[in-house]
Amino acid sequence: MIFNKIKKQNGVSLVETIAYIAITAILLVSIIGLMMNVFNTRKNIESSNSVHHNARFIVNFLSNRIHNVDYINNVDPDPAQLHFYEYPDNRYSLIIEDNDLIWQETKDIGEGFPNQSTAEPILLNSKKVHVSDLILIPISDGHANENRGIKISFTLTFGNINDSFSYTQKTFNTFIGLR
Amino acid sequence: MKEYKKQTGFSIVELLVAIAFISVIVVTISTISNFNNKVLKINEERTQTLLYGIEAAEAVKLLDWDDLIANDYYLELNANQWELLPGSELIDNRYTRTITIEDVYRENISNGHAYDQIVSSGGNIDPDTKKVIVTIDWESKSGLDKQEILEFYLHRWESDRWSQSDWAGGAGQETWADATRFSAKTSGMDISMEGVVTLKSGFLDWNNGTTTDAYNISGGSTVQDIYQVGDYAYMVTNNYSSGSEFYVFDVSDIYDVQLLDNMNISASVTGVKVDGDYAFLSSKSDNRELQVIDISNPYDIDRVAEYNISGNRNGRDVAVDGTEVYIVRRDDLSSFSILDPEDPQFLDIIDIDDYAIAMHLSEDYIFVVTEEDDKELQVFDITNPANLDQIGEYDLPGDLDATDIYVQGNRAYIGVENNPSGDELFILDISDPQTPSFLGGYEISSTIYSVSIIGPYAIIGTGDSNEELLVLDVSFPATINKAGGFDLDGFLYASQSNCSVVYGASSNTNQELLLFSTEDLDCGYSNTGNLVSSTYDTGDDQLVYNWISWSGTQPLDTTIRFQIATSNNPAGPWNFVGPDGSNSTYYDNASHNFINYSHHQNQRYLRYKVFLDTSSDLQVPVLEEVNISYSIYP
Repeated sequence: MIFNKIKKQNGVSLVETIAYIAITAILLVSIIGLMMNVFNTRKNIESSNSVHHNARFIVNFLSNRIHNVDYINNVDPDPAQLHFYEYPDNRYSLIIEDNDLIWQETKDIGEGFPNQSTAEPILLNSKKVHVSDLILIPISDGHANENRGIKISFTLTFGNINDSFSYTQKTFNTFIGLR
Repeated sequence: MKEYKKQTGFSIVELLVAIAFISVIVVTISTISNFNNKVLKINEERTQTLLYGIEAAEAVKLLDWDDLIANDYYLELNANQWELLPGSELIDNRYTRTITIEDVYRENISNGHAYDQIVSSGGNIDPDTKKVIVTIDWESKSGLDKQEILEFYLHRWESDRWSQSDWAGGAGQETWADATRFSAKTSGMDISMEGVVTLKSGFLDWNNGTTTDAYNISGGSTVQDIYQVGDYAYMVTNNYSSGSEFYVFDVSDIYDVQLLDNMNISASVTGVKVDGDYAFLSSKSDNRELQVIDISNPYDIDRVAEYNISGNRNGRDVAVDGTEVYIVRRDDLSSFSILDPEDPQFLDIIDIDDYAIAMHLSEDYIFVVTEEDDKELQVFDITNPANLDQIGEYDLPGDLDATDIYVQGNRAYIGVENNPSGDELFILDISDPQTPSFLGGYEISSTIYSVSIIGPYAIIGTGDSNEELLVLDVSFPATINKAGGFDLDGFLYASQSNCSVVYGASSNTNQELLLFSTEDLDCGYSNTGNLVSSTYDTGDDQLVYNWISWSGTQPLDTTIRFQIATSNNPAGPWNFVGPDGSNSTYYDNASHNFINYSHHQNQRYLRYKVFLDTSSDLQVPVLEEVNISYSIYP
């Protein structure tokens, strides 16, 4: 009988190499895709959360303050639009400065309103969120008493418009009445 | 033998396992990522719906209450004013917002006011509460149908209050301006004290007490008794051998007493009472214990009858009750008919144990005080004067000798001789005459000669030579307070009090008749009265009256009650009604009464009327503050 002696092989065959590369490539593409997806989602969530969190905070803050206001003075076309008066000597206003929403609290220190030299600005939005298009409309109550509530509209923007994953822009509308 | 070579490459199985494993990981991560995206979308949308929900809730609060009628609505801004229109609205092409208004029903109702727990079925409609439901439906970008519901109750809770806590400014103010004044009151109401309105209780300031006049009868013997009625006072004395024992005075001017006439009875007279045109005397004469004097002409009195009670015992006191007269002797009580006062008819006699001193007749009972140690007070039923009946007795503590008794209402006031071991004045509750009970006592540390009562005051003639006249406030028998003490020039052996004047029979032989007074002209007591407030303007004819409450003191057997009148005309008419809308019911719960809802609804002007009543002796209700709550419709 003749025995075919096959020599022992230690190297990698071409086919095996091609298969390895192919599989690795597929895996890499999938993993990178996934990674990108996760990163984008993270950016998206951060952006969206920032905008909505800011919206909730702003509305809560304004509700708390405006509920206690005694009367509202319409000072349009002054940029403050409205002056909120709370007895005995507080005056508030809401303005946008450099894309920031600012709540100004003033005490009457004898200089009379609308002097705002004692204003203590309170920033209502976080750093990365820009506020724009603030519209305050005073509303009458069912007995035609004027300025018994305000309709509020504002727009919040987060991120660069060119970066679609991190960019969020929303306009919020609500209404707050005086107590 | 075949030799198999060792293989070092992947087997197909290994490869498949690896691919499957990686696929699972990829799918899992994708699913999570996708899920995150959905949650993100839903959260974004929820923030939006929250703001739209707040908007609806805040807007509804600004609406006219009358527009809140049960139905489904949407909001529309019209000329800077919110308006409710039936239906729903689509906001941002995504959110469907519906505002549902529902009526609210509560567990209980009183005078038209629904109150207590809100119930989901049955119950009573509460027009002052509405349920508002803001529903927002949307199809989420995540592909799911979502809904947010905001539920809350609107309650017409805002109310104003009209309070009055002072009436001292007096009557005559028709329109509310001065908070201390009112429109009108009946004469029984006492508003003199700042901060309260009460019934006239006969308050006297005894600091003003003074002797206004005295009369010295020339000669005469020791005074025994005095009785005052109208403009006249009648005084009797012990036997005066050379003159009179019965005197008639004109006391109409308390600063100038005049003796009108006197009469020699020829015996010691112990008691005197007057009824109509006749004076009835009890005497120590053995053969005419009862004597009747015609006093119709006080300047010319005339003895018209006398009666000899069998047995030779001294008459001690006399009492009259319209058609009967009673004489108490040391150990018996006799009754006579005086249908014809000039011919008294003997009716009955009953034994007394023992040594009676004085008596007081009150309604159907005669109260006799004695020196008997174990029954100083004895009570006789005179419902049938021809059949006298002893029904009760009371043993004062210790062995005391009673000296005088005065009965008013449900109380008997008994004075005794100096009691070294306790009180000399005893107040008993005789609401059940069969079993008198002890209410209070007061220690004077000397003998009490006489007791009489003015309103809430006991006028005590004492044996204390520094304070012969003692005035005690006996409103609360358990805590008797001294209202005044006066040093007179003689002991008051007997006294009769009327209004603010004490008519005293004094032991001082230079001023047998003594008049002492606080000089108050108005000392009326009243057991009923009412007061009508000024007209109060609530300022709006869209309102409901909520409740009335008051504070003050209301002793037993006294009442404070209110009625309310409303109108849309400041001049009335004022039709005062109680909780059921009729004039026969009253608000009588001091802490809280719901005011009749429908009867007074939307009536701008208001008046209250307070009714004070007492059926108690010496106790009056006191009103200190009244509050009426009303809500003007928002």
